[in-house]
Amino acid sequence: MKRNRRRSKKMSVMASRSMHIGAVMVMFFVMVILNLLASSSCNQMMKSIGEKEKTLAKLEDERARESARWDAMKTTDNIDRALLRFGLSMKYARAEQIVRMDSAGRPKPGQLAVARARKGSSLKTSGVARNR
Amino acid sequence: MRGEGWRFWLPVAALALFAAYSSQKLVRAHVDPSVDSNDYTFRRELPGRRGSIYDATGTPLVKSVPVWDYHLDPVALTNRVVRRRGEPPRPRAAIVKTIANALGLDFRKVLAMSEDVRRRYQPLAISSDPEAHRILADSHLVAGVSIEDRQIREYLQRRRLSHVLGSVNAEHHGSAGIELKYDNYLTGVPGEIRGMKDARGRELYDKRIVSVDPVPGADIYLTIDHTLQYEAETALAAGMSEFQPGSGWCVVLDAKTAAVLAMASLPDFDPLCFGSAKDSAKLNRVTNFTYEPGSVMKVITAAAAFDSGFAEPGRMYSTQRYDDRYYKLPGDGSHVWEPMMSIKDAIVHSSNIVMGKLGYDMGPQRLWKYMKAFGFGERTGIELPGEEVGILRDWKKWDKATWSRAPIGQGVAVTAIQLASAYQAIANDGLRMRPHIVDRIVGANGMELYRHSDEPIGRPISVSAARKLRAAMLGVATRNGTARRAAIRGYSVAGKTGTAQKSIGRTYAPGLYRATFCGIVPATNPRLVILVTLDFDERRKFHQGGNSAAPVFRRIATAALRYLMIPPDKPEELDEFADEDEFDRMMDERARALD
Repeated sequence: MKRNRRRSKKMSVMASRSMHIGAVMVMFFVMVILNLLASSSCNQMMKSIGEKEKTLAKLEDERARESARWDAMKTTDNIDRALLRFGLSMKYARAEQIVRMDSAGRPKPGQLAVARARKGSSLKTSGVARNR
Repeated sequence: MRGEGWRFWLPVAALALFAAYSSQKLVRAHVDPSVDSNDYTFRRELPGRRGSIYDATGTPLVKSVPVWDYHLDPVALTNRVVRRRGEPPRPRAAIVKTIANALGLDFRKVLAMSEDVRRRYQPLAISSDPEAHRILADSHLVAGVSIEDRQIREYLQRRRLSHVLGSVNAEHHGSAGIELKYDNYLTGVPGEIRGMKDARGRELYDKRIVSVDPVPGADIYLTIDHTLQYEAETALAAGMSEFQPGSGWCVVLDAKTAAVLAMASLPDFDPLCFGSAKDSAKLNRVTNFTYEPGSVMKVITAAAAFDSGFAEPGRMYSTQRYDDRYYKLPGDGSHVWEPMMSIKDAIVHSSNIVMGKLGYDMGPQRLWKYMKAFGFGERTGIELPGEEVGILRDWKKWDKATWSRAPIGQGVAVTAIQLASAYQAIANDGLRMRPHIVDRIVGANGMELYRHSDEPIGRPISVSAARKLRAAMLGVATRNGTARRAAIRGYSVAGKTGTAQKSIGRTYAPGLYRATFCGIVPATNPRLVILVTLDFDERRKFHQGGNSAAPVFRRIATAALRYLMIPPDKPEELDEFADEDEFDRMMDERARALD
């Protein structure tokens, strides 16, 4: 009886150990597979990030080039040249051609352009009256 | 079983520790720079874009642009085109033609390059054309062309403002102007990528160890307005071609803040060819060149007299040159004919005798003190490299000749920016502000790293003295003054002419002059200070400040007043001379008749 007891105890220990080993192996394989899956997914993501990085850099370069080209077209010299091609020449407005308005939209007092306009309109009116 | 679990977990834990240790060691090995050059790891530097330079309106003046740098390898060109199945081999001439057409080069030149097999790295062109890149990168069309990604500095306004903007060298670092002065701000910080690569040299993206983004350089915003700069340079160039001086320069300052709105110096240079430009063209004559100012300094003498209470504008002086009380007074030309003249009239007619006597009477110490207070003999502190100090010797070292000549602008040397700064003080009721050209610096993240705040640097004269002086200067640009051609229809101009003899060695060269006009507009409510100098290397008919520099001033001032929409302070003149050109014509004719 005593021998049998010892034997059954030994067998149960072995069974328990083999269960442990089996569990560890299963765990190991599961982890390996998980690792492979994660690694593959990571690799895919990194590849896609890499491609996007390249595309971004390319687009940024293209944007910088286009922006510089556009800025160069807008320089005063180039605008002047472009206008001259169409026989146009631009000048700044003379002081008497400028009417400054207040916030309410009324012309500010004492402006030459306004005075001239009023003078012109009064002359016109008087002229009309004389004609009549 | 209970209590015996350690027998299983202990080796597992040891294994885990070993694995962790190994992986740490592996990572450290990759980060170590000493292993950069091995077959499995790589390090790639990402260039940090150089900052841009903008004008006051936010218009870009300088930018860094990515381009492709093409080089030709004649050996690789021979029979190296990757052929598609069934296609005949492309002959050399066809490949060369494709290259030449794509880059807009001369076919014969490229063909000659392709035949020189001893040189295997021949520069072809630098181009930003994406279509050319598409063709030249196609291995089915072209062979033997190596392509490098590069950044170049694009000066959008070409030669305009070249002295202010400066240039960069081959390493993309500033070599002149703002590019040099603010190189630390403009230069970006490069980023880097470190990682592992496969046997074919391709990056293993999941094995990337370090990835640091580059930081672009800061952007600089100037106080220059590109439209005013265009007007100033166009007017100066027109003056150069009309009056034929060897060189000319001008500067436009804001009368209240001393912000530089335009600055031009001719001859100028192409910033892309800075290395091959002549030294005389590289010189910014506004800040880096000193010269005897001549009669424009009479205003400083008068300022000293008015502010110290020594004399009033109406004080009369004899125009008799030979007087025992004074030492070797300079003579006057035929433009001064009255026997007695007030100080105010002496400014209007630019009398050397009266201003010499006034300066002599005041004494050298007082005059020197005011010259110093106006900033002569010291740098203004403008943010441009190589600013000159000028020459203003201590009054104790003045001999009698300097004593009588300094009041009329001889025996002292100034820079144009010093002179304009002194006139700015007069325009700003005696308060001198530090001239500046940089408004703000903005980092790549949009954070402001620097913003200029207006800085008063002294009050050389009182408010009342400044107003008296401006009133006295009003007569210069009128029908009776020395600068009739500086008069602007509808606006009052307070200014002063200067026609300084040029010294060669220890003597003055006969017939060679520097003509200057410095003016304040509108004189009643000053907004702009404009200085123009034309430097004559040869004898010319119109070499006086009033006849050569003054018309250039008028062109710049007229355009600036209209562009900035500054209202006229003499509107009655607009009615008197309804025709826009009639006024200018009348003043020009009067000036010519008097010459």
